[in-house]
Amino acid sequence: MIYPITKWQADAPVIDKKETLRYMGVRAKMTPELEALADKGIQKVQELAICRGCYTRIPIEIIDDTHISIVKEVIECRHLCRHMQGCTEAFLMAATVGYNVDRLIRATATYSPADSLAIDAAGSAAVEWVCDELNKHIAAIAEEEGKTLCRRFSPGYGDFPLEYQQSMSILLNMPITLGIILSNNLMMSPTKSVTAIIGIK
Amino acid sequence: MSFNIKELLKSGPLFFDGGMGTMLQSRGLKPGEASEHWNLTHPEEIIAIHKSYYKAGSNIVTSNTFGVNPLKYDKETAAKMIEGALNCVKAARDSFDDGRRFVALDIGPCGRLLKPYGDLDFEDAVEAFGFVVREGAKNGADLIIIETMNDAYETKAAVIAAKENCNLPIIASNVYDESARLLTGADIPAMIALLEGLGVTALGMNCSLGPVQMRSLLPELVKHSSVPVLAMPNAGMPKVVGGKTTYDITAEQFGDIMAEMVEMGAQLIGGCCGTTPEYIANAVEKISGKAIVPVTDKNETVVSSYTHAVCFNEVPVLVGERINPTGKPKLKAALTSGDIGYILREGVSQQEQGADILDVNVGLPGLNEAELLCTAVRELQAVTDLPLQLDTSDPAAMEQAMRIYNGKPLVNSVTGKAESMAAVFPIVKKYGGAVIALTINEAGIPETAEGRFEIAENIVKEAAKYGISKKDIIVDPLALTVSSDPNNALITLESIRLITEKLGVKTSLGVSNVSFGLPGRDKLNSAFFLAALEKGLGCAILNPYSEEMMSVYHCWKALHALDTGFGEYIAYAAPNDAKKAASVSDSSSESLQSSIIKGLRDTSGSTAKKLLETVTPMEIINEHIIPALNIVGKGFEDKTIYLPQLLMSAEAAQAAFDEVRAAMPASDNDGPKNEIIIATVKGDIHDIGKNIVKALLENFGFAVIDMGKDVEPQTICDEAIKHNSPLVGLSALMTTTVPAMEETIKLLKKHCPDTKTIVGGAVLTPEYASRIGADFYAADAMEAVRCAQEMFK
Repeated sequence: MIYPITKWQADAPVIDKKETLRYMGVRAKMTPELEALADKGIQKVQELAICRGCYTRIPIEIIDDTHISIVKEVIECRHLCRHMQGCTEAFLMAATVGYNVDRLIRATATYSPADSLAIDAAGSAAVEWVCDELNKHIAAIAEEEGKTLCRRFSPGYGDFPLEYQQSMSILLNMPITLGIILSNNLMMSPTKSVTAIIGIK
Repeated sequence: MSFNIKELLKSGPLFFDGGMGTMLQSRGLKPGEASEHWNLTHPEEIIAIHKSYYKAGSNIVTSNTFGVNPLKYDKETAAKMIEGALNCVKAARDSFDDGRRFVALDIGPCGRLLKPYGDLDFEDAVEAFGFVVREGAKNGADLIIIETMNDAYETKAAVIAAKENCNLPIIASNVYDESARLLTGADIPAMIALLEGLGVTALGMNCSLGPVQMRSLLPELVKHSSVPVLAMPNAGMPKVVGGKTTYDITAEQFGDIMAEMVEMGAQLIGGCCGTTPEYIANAVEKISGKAIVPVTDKNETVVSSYTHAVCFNEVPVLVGERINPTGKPKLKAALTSGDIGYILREGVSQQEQGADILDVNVGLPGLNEAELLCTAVRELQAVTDLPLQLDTSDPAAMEQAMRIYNGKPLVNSVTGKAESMAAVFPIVKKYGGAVIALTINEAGIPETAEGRFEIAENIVKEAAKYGISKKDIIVDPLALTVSSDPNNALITLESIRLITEKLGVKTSLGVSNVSFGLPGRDKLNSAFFLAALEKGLGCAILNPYSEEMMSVYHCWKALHALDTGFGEYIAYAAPNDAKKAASVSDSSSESLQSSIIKGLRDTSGSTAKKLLETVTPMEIINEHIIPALNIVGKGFEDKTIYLPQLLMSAEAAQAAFDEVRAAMPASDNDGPKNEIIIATVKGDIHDIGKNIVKALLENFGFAVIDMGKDVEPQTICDEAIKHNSPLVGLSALMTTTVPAMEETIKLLKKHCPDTKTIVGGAVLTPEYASRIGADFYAADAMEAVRCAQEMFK
């Protein structure tokens, strides 16, 4: 049997200004110019982002402290083992804001590095929002079964190997379902895309 | 028997098969297992599935080669899989052959994304698809189907590969979402323009949507396509029930909706995910006896980009003329020094001014035009989604640029000279494009409208011999300056009328030529533009920054009922009023220095201009701009201001610089600058950091040669040798690309031992940098500037 993939879509993203400013490298000490710059980036991303996601539900097995099997593929990852202790199932998910945002970042960079930075930051904040929304959607499914979810965990974080992106791509059929394609170096296009595993408790 | 679609459609619609994956899973294919292995390990299962489709009534069965290409498998394995797959279809067909049963070589996406948003080179994609096509043709395919394509550029690569490697009919099918776009952005008219231009036999849509959703997209396809249309939906929209994917349309319903789609104008029918022989049998049953809606030539003059098409209809098309070095010393300098950034800014800002298409002319003596035109096209297509007009008199440059262009381009130009037509028409036919035809022949430019009409007529006739329809010819009857002959404008205007009315062909003009040698050119140009529009001008090549020209354009549309509700007119005219009012009240009280420190990008230019009334340019630079930049730079280093503020200040300083430079005598302008090469290394597609460093370096007076992202070590090394560069900056975001950085540094050390390297990027540390052999490490953009200043001291 195969693991069915469900597509999911959201409306225009709600982009958090604080998050955007944080991605822009601003910690405190706001100025009107900085706020205006962030607002402009947020507005453009809201206009152009197409927020899509997908997920699938798969079996996992924590083998020992360092090894976990995800759909029978054994991965060495201490973080995941600790993180998903006691789980036998997990969701895999992917989310993106689409190619328009990448194009906008590049087009804007030709004349304004500052605007481009703000759009880039707003794009990152937007895809985080998409992940949160999709996460909520998945949590509701789990809740119906009386289950809860672990925090989501992405390849490349901690010791979760970036190489797992390849399995993510296959199990979620990412090129076809979302248009997310991996480069030889395992980077995702569109760049504002996220994949994650979420344990089911 | 060969697959002759015209003949076959005479007896009714043609049927493809349905889903393969679904069938294989029910026969035991495991999750994650690639189905193409079964061509060799379980041929009997594959043959049985093919047979069940032929039995259900499929005319065309597709080989199980969707995922096979030499990017995924070594060539030997790929070749065996393709051979095995075609043997399976042929074996299945043998028991059903009635003259209407065919074997299609199936080609799916290659699994990689093409540049500029991915890392696969266009020619590498063509090569990979070409391999599959050759193996498929060798093993007896009757036709090629390129399907489930999500991306316009990849579709183009596959179609070109098919054209170049076999003589079989080519059908191309894309995946649209409910908003009628591909996931990478192209809409239906854009894909039709591209695919018809390339000469496919049929085109259409498959996967992702069910029959209900596809039914609502079909009218758009039928409306624009001049070739047969294919619809291969999934068995409805998917739903997960009890851990299994199910679809919401039954075989019965599928048949009913597909029958409706045939009545609406689909000529080729099939199924995708979730459909089974039962679905196809139902469709065959419901449709049998129905005739097809005949395919008609839509006669639309259209060009496209990777997102949308521009159709030449009653609304005049504006081609931005700014990317053409003739009479533009700044662009000339940019082209000579390889400053692509300048071209990109011109492109993006002309789009903002309202251009529909961008002219791209990079012809300058001493430069490799073919190479430069291709670079300009690639780079422009990464930042603007406008269609481009490839403007060159060099057929080799034209061919290479048309090949790599993502969409159906406008080409400028062919003339009525036999030699020109013999060189240009075969290229236009092969790659698909609309071409501007100048009414000039061996005898020169006729002095009468009738004479120009005759040349136009002859060009259209000659094009037809190459199979190029007159809808793909746009005639430019040439605007000559009235200063040399007062009748020139009248002749051109009458030519437009004749060609539009009698030849039924669209026209184009380089409008501003009319005023050459006279003062106040925009005034004359805009009056001539208006007169030409009244005669039916379809397209104008003009300067979209010209207030007068844009005003004529918007007013003419509003007055000809082409701007419903005056929305465009109001959007154009109202902000102009507001701007004027603002510029009166806005005499900014900020000093130039504080404008730059605050990053007031909109006002620092005008502040500098005002200051120029009383202060010399050099004084402004040394006593206002540089001190302001130093304050900001210091603030950034002391962490009292943030990166975006640093950038805003840099842009504000740049705006002030531009004003000051314009006021400087030319000799002060062209002093030697310290040159720095920068690049994001091979394999890395993140370049925001590199772009920030570039902006700041330029701000501090360095000449930056920006090589872009994902750049081969050898290419960077070659450029360093060429410029004898003292400093090369390299950026990498990911640990996976640091080895490419190390390799680049090694090459540089070997071939240009005097060149120093400076590296930066998220994963680098000073220790890491020195371990890979870099001379300097910069933690941020300001450090890179300081480092460069130190080096060039």
